[in-house]
Order: sequence, then structure tokens, then C-alpha cells
Amino acid sequence: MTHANRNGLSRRTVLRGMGVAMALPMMEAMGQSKALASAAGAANGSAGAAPLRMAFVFTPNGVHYPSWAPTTAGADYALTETLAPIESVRKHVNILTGLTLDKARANGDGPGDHARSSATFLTGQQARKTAGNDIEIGVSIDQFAAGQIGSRTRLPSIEIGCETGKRAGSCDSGYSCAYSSHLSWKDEDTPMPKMIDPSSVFETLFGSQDRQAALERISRRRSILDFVAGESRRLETKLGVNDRKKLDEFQTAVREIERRIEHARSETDANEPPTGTPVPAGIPRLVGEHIDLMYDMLLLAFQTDQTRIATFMTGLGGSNRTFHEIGVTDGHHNLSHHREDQAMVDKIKKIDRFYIERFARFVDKASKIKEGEGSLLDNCMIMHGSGISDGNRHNHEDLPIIMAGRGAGAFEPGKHIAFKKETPLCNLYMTMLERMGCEVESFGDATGKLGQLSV
Amino acid sequence: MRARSWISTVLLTLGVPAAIGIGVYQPEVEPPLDPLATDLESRLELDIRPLLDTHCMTCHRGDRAKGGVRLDTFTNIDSFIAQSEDLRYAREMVATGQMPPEDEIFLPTEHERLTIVQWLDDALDYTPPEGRIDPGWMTIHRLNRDEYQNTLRDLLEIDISAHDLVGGLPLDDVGYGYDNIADVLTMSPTHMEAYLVAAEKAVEIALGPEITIGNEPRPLKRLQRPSNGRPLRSGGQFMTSNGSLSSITPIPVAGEYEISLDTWGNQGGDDLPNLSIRVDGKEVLSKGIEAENEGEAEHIAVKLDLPAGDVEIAAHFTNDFWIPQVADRNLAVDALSIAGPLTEESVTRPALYQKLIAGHEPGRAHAEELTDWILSRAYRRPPESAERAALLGLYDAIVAEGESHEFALRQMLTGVLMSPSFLYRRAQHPEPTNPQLVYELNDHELASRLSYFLWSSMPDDELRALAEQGALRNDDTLKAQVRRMLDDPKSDALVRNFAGQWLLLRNLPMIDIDRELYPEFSENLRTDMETEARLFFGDVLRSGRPIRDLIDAQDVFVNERLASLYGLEGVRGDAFQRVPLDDTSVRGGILTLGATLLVTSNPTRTSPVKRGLYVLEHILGTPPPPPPPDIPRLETSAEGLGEAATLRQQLAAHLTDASCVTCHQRMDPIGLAMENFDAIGAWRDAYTDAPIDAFGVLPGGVEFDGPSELKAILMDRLDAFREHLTSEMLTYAIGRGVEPFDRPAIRKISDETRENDDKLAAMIESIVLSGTFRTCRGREAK
Repeated sequence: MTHANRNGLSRRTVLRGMGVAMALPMMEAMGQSKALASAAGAANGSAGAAPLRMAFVFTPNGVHYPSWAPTTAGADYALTETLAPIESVRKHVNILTGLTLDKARANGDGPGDHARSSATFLTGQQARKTAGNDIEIGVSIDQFAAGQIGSRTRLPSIEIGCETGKRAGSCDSGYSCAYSSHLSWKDEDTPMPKMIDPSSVFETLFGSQDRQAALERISRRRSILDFVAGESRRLETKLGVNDRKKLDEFQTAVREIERRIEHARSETDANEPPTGTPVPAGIPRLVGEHIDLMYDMLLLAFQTDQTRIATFMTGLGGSNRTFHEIGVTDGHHNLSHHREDQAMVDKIKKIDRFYIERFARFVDKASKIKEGEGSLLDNCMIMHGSGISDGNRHNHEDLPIIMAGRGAGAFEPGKHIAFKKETPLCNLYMTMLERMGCEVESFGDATGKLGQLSV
Repeated sequence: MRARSWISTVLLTLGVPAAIGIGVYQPEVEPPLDPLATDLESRLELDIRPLLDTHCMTCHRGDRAKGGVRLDTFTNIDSFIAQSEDLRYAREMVATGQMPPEDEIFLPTEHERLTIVQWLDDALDYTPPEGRIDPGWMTIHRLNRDEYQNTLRDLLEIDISAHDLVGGLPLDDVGYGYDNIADVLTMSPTHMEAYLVAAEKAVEIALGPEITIGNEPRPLKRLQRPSNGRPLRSGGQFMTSNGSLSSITPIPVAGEYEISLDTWGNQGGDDLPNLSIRVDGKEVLSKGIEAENEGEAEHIAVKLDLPAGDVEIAAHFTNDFWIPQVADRNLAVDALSIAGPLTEESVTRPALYQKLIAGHEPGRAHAEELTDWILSRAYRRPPESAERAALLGLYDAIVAEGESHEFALRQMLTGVLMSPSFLYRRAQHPEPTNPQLVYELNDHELASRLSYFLWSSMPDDELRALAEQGALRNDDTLKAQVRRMLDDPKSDALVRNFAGQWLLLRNLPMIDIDRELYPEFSENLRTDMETEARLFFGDVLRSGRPIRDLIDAQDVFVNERLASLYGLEGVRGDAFQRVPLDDTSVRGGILTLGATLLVTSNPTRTSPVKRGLYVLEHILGTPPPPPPPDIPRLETSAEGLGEAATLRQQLAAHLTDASCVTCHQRMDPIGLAMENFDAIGAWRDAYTDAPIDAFGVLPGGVEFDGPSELKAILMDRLDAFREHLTSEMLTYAIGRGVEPFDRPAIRKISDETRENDDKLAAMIESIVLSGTFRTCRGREAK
């Protein structure tokens, strides 16, 4: 018999209604997290060193490229209209131009650039055009890394977002909605669903009950999972190869839950959020507050070392959401096809800048969380960008990519780096995977690694 | 001849009735004699092939065939069916003279052109005999969110509307327009964790919390102390002035409890120190305490009924009296405890607890009984002995760890809810990778397919009983069950899940409307529109109405708000009622539903293109191909401009651009005909600054003006609508995207529907009786 533990709840300030603004000072007050020193040292093999994390933030529909792209390169590049909010965190980010997602191009598959832009963004692979039968893309960079090094943390990775998939109808030109709703793919046909409710993320990170109740629950669950694993083995013998592949998803999920349980048992400390962390109370009404709160959850996950790998889908591929808080009541996707109509371009620029502001706020917060001699951000590689360059043209070269963090000493931020045209975005992924300590021979359509990023 | 031996095995063991005629199509097996097919095939060889060779094959052969249309790959009627989508398109191109292209050297004569079109028409019309229709495959099918919740509701008798069981469960991905497509329903660790949380919660709700009946006192925890006095050894307080010792205590279930404490005091003055015990502020006992020291403390116990939930229990000292050096009245309260529930009789248990656990002798026999009960329901078939043994093994293991009998039973239930045999449904095809072997679903598999189609939930007792008797696989029984199930309120799931997705009602909550431009719009109105659409579709389904009513009906279902939006008078209040329409009304049918008009609009204005596309895609099933890449949209926001002029003029630009005209000459006139309905579905006679022109011409020269004439044109295309609706309904029914090989089945179901007064309910009956629903074949290994 379990009851919600009042002690456990009172330790956290429950935030009702939605006031993200209220949450900020407390988050900033968190300071260095206690979980870090031990967990980090164990993982990287050197005592005291903080772990390296990576995150990928996707924004939909590309940008108005002329207002986004800096025209001068190097350390003293001039910020553009859209990138202006970066100013305050300029020294923490690199602007990367010239990168390409060739596999998001039609390549004979016809329309569907929006679905491809999200499906290809982290996989670098061509999505098989289907409305559902035989979905096929490829493992995404986060899951590639999670497969190799995810077991170092309680959660191998987290997937978060701000928009649910469409509930009916088709998504984009004959592509299954799975392609436009997910960035993260565990294997070629299994997308990793994303959490969009901040309170679910919080619950996943920290649970909702006290340590004792959690341990009791864990021991109960072990025997149930043993039974479930047995049932699934028995069922497997009766299935054909196709169905066995489906059941394999189930068995993988069971093993992952078992692993989390073992991980939780072996922890000496309860996984607790830093003191004073507010508990989110559902999905905020305003888009900006929702995005900010999800960024906060991402920070919490990294800060408490619950995971080191994350994907954040701020909007769906081809998102048509509106932004009342900045006075944009037309849909984003509709506006992105602006044909250089000035009124529409102005609105698109507002939206582009809005997404950049959200990111800059996040980068700023991450840079203020102390970790060893530096900051949490210093031990991160946070990529922000879109799988389409210019929403009006649907082109997949010259992608708008920003990279924040020093990658634990690998990168030297503060510059605009203009790569040679048609440099595969996957070359960046090769660099990041290697930096994360993964063994990687090739990824997507990579032709090598990005030399200029390294210090 | 291994295949032949399989046929007999399958037929014998499954007892396929010859009447159904489900056989096996197998190269070695002679297909049933089919003169129609023979005729088509011989005409193909004699008349058609030479024409194709002369006029088409230069471009349409091999892997690099133009437009991806190959005319060299169909040699018989089966391969024709597999390619029927392309050939339907080819027929249009040839019939309208667009193919072969005019610059071709050898153009066919008019007679040759007609010969080809005639053959293509006949072939497209061809329906093979039932036994030769390919039923397609069945993939193991995870319960989606709705199915999972409804199944928990029916299995455990819990009220799912009162509890959020699936909050952590990711939304299911949509494929082919629906979220119940087996190939698209995946499983991830996030799913698994959510299922685990939901299973634990569901069992606790269904059985109530596990409690121990008895009168063993438990000290109250987390005591709130008064600021005066001093703590005592058993957690209590010596109170030197008025105050209370209290605790907020969780009460697991409503029942009879006993609150007890030890108390003593100092009299001081005329009165004894007064103890007042209060529960949630209400006094349940008040007493002067005579005992004067801990050694002779008075034990006080109060029995009372408490509700479930948090209860504040407090012991107050109420009459402090103090004259320095003269009198000092004090009260000690110690060992504040609660016991109970005291008796089983005083406790209200949930229905399932009464049924499954109350009154049973704890022990393995009870566990065995529960095993049979849960497995036959949760697995939707009789359990195998190994499955029974495995579940009892879980029980034994938990009991061996020293846990209680009841706890072990709860764990069994939770385990079953996590089992893949519960979370997935499937058919036991004997050779899952043999596409030649057709398997007839057994009674239990059929019961399950039927109940998830009509109820999005597990079979009920009646279906299960029929399946156990082996009586379900009978046309009359199936028809009777379909009628019974549609009459059951659980068939609301079909309305919500099928119509909700087919008509895009589920996208309604996400449609953003600019409130400054449309001040009369409200969230209530949005909900009303969804309700109206469901009531309308539900009525067509259950009242034996024909599918043509979906295109144009003589009634609407409205409440006061909607009636006012529609300009209908005499409707009052929030409740919905059916309102008959007169002949002049433009309302009635899907196209003029507020829901349809809203879901096809942009936040600031209507979108004729979206409305045209909606009709082509969701009503006629002939969506144009998606726009080519790199072509920007022509519509723009109408801000500050004459809305009317810009919209029609801008759309006119579609017709002068070669890459737009083919599709937009079909879409735009349809949407423009609906321009009298604004973005939220209200009628308008004119734009703010210009008249509305709802006149249009479709390809082929059909002219029409406004929504009523548009509906008339759609009525002329009733056959296309029927086939499209069949295709959608079949997709939903079998949880698989329809493939070209499904065309004959769709045609047959459509024909049967038409012959049965075109009733929507008849279409459902026909689907359930079809081979596509009742059988499946293997699927090549991917």
C-alpha cells in the first residue's frame, strides 16, 4: 500500500498556475549540483571531471535566411537582425554556416521537405516514403550515442518537445506522421516518442515519491518484469519474423526498464532535484513559456546527471502554430511560404528571432550554473537549428546551425565559422560522437569530421 | 506438394466452412473457374497488348518508365489488380486525350483509344470471386491509447473518466490517417514505463488500496505541536495553555476506525481539564480528565466512521486556567493513535474486489481461480497451460518472499496488464511468412477484431461466450452482433475514433482562430462543433440512414450557440436537438458542418484551397498530388487589401501556371463555392468590402454556383464517395493501410452497401463479413 508521501512533496515547492518567471531565480540559485562530482568522476574515469553532455534542439520551417546568416566570418563577425539576441551569450556560441542535409532533399521522392527535414535532421538518412507500411529511416545521432554510452546514466537519453503529433489526417505529402513528429530514432523503424508535458519530464527525471517508497516499488516491479520477460519469450516462439521485429521493440523496452531499476537500486543517493526546484504543473498556455520550461527541464536533467544526451523538438516538422505573445496569429508554416511578401517576411523574422531568444536565455542559464572551474555549459555541446535553410525555398543546404558550449574543452566558441558549401551536417555529428567517446566509423552521409571546430 | 498438405491441415484444424469459400490461392492449386477474368485476359493479349506496344511502350516500360507508370508489368488479372492505381490514372489520361502526348508520331485512332479505355474500364470494374480476393496480412497490433484505456475500463470495471491512467503514454503516431495502424504502433521504454505506472494505478483503483482489517493501534505521524508545554515520551505533549496536538492522517478507505490516546492533567481551579477530540474541526468527544499523572493515565478511545482521504485528527486542551502561585490547570495527551478499519463490514470495497477477492479463502486455490478469470479476459482467448503456470509462478514467488496472499494477487493482475499477450492482439497464422496461405481467424481472434473495430475495446461476455461455443463464425450471428454492438453506447468509440479522424475532428482543438477578427468565436463553440459532428455521424450510423445523408441531409444537430451561428431560430439552451431543415437551407451534411468549415480555415481567413482539398481528399478520395517542391503558396494574408478581389485573383494565378493548373482547377472552384461560409462557418452574403462570387467551373465544363449546387455535383459522384468511405472504414477496421490488392474487396463491400439501401450500418456489416476482415495471409519476410 502506498500513499503519496507528504514529506517528499513538501520538500519541493509546487508551482501552480504557470509562472515561469517565478521559476527563474530559484533555478539560478541552484548552484552546483551535488550529484555531479561523484557521478561525473565515475563516468569519465577521472575524479572530479564533469561529464560531457550533448543536446540537439530542432526548430521547424527553416528561417528567413538573409536576416539570419552573418555575412562576416571569424571572431568579430557582425550579428544579424535575427541573431541579435545572441549578443549576451555571444562568447558561448559558434554560428555554423554552409552545412547541408543532402538526404532531406527529394532525391527522386517528390514533395515532403518538411517531413524529411525532421526525419533526416539527426539521422542523416533518406526517409522511405510511406504513410505507415514499412517506415524506414535510420538510427539518430542521440540514439547512436545512447546505445554506446547511455548506460552511464539512469536515463540513456531524453526526448522532449512542445507540440504533439497531428491527431488525424496526413502530415506531409505521403510521409507518415512518424517522420514529422520525431527527431529521435532508436533503429530504422522505431521512433522515440517525446514528452511534451514538463511535469511528465520532471516525473521521469525524479519520480514523484520518496526514496523508501521508490525502492519498495522497484522491488515489486522486478518480479513483474521477470514474468513479463518470460511471457514475451514464449510469445516470440510463435511469431513470424516480421512480428518478431515488432515484439523486439517490446523486449528492448523491458530490458531498458530493468536496467533503470538496477541503476536506481545501485544509487546511494536518491535522485533528487536541487533544493528549491519548483515542480512544473502542466503545459503552459503560451508557447514561449512552454519552450522555456522545457529548456529548464533539459538543464535539470544535465545538471543532476540523469542523462547526458537529449533531443528537443520545439515544433513539429512543418509546424503551423501561432505565436500570440508576439502578435503573430498566422500559422508558422503558412507564413514561411512568404514569396518575399514584406508583411509575411516580417512575421517570419519575428518568429525566427523568438526561437533565438528562447535559446539565448537557455544558453545564458546554462553558462551560470557552476561546474568545477567553469560552467555546466562548458561541458556541453548544444546544437540548435533546422533541417530546412529557408522556409520559402525548402532548401537543405546552408542550414542555420548554432553550437553552444565548449564540449569540455574541444571547441572555442565566439565565432562564425563558414564551412565550404555542401559540407555534410553529419560531419559535425561525427565530430560530436567522437568527442562523446563513441566509436564511430561513419554516420549518415558524413565524409569526415569538421576540423575547424576543434581548438 | 507441401503447400497442399498445409491446406488440408489448416482447413481441418480450423474447420473452415465451405460456404465462406475461403481457400488458399497457391500456384499449384487450380483457381476457381472465373470466365470474366479469362475473358479480360484474352482481350488483353489479342486486342490491347498490340496497341500498347505501338503507342505506349517507348516510354512506359522498364525501371525508367516515364512518370513511374509501367505498362509492361501486367500480364494477367492479378498483376493488373496489383497495379490498379496506376492504371486508373492511365485510363483518365488516355480517355481525355492527354496520353499519348500530341507530339507522338503514332497516335492511336479514336476507335483504338476507345478500345483501350473500354478494356481498362472493364478491368477496373472486375471483382474476383470471394475466394480469390487477397485479404492481406495482419501485423501484431499494440493497443493504442484509446483501446488500452477502454480495455482497462471493461476488464477491471473502472471509471476511466475519473482517473488519468495514461498521462505518461505518448500519443500514437498516425498512418494512413488513423492512429490504430498496426505497422505504425511502436513500443519504446517511455511506453513501457507509462504502461507500468498505468497498470499499477489501474489495479489499485479496481481493487481499492490493500488494507489490513483490525484494531491494532498505529501512532499518528507528523504531529503538529502547540507552542507551549513540553513533549512526552510517546510522542505526545504536556499542554500548559490552550492548544492542540494534531496530525493530518491519510485514511486509505472509508470505514470504521478508532482514535485513541492516553491522557492526564492538573485540575487547578473549579473545573477538570477538558479534552476535546476533533476530526476535521468537528468535535467527536469532550471530557473532563480526572487522572492526575502518567502512572494512572486515562485511556480514551473513540470509534467513528471516517471517509477516505486526508483527515485532520486533533486533541485540544480547551479550558486553561492559571493564577500564579494559586491555580494551574494543564492537560497531557500522549500515544495519539488510530486503529482500523475495524471490521470488513464497515468498509466499502470496489465492485471488482467484492467479485474477485472478498469472501475467498486465501490460498493457492484462490490464485488459480483468479488466474483463469484474468487470463481468459485479458488475453482475449483461453489461456495455455504454460501461461497459467507462469502466472501462478509469479504468485508463488511473491508469497515465498513473505508477502501477503492479497498482495500477490495484485501483482498477478499488474503482471498480466504488462504482458505482451495483453498489450498486443494478433492472429495465430500457421505460416506467418507464407503469402500464399490464407488463414481464417478463429472465433476468439474474430471476436477481438470485431470488438476493437466497433468499440475500441475487448470483447464483452456475450462475444466471449459465442467465441467459446465456436458460434461466432457464422454470417447471421455476425450480423446480429454488429447490430447489437452498434446499439451499445460503447460504439461511441467508433464515432469518436473513426469519424474523429476521417473528418479531421481531432484537429479541431488545434485550430487557432483570431479572436479579434472573429469575436463571436469561443471555446464552447469549438466544443459544440465537435459534438454536432459526432451526433450527426452517430445518427447516420445508428438510425439506418444512407450514406448520401453525409453529403446532404435535411437536418442538423444544434444547441442554441450553434443555431445562432447557423442562423436557425427557436433553439434554446446548451442541450443539442435535431432540427429539421427546409429545402432552401444551405446546411446539412458534412460540408456545411461548423467543424468542417473551421478545420479547413486559417487563423485569420478562409482557405478555399484547403476546403477544395478536403472535398477531394476526404469525400471523393481523389486527392491531387502534393505541390511540387520550391513552389510557394499563392494565397497570402488579406490584410489591408480587398479580401474578395485578392483571394479570387490570386487563385486565378494558379490557372495560368502550368505546374499548378492541373490540380488547382479541381480544388479552387470547390473551395470558392464555399466562400459564403466564413472561417468559423457562419454564413456571409458578402465580404466586408466586396461581393462574394461562388460560381465555378470544374474540369470537363461542369458549372455550379454555391454550396447547394456543389452538394448536387457530389451527389452525382456518390459511387466515388461510397468507395472512398469504404476504403477509409476498411483501413480503420483492419488497422492496416489499404493496398492496391484491396481494391476488389473495397468494390465488393461498396456494391453490397449500395444493395442494402446504401446504409452506413450495412457498410460496416459488409466489412465484418468480408474475407479481408475474417482472414489473413502471411507476409513475406521484410
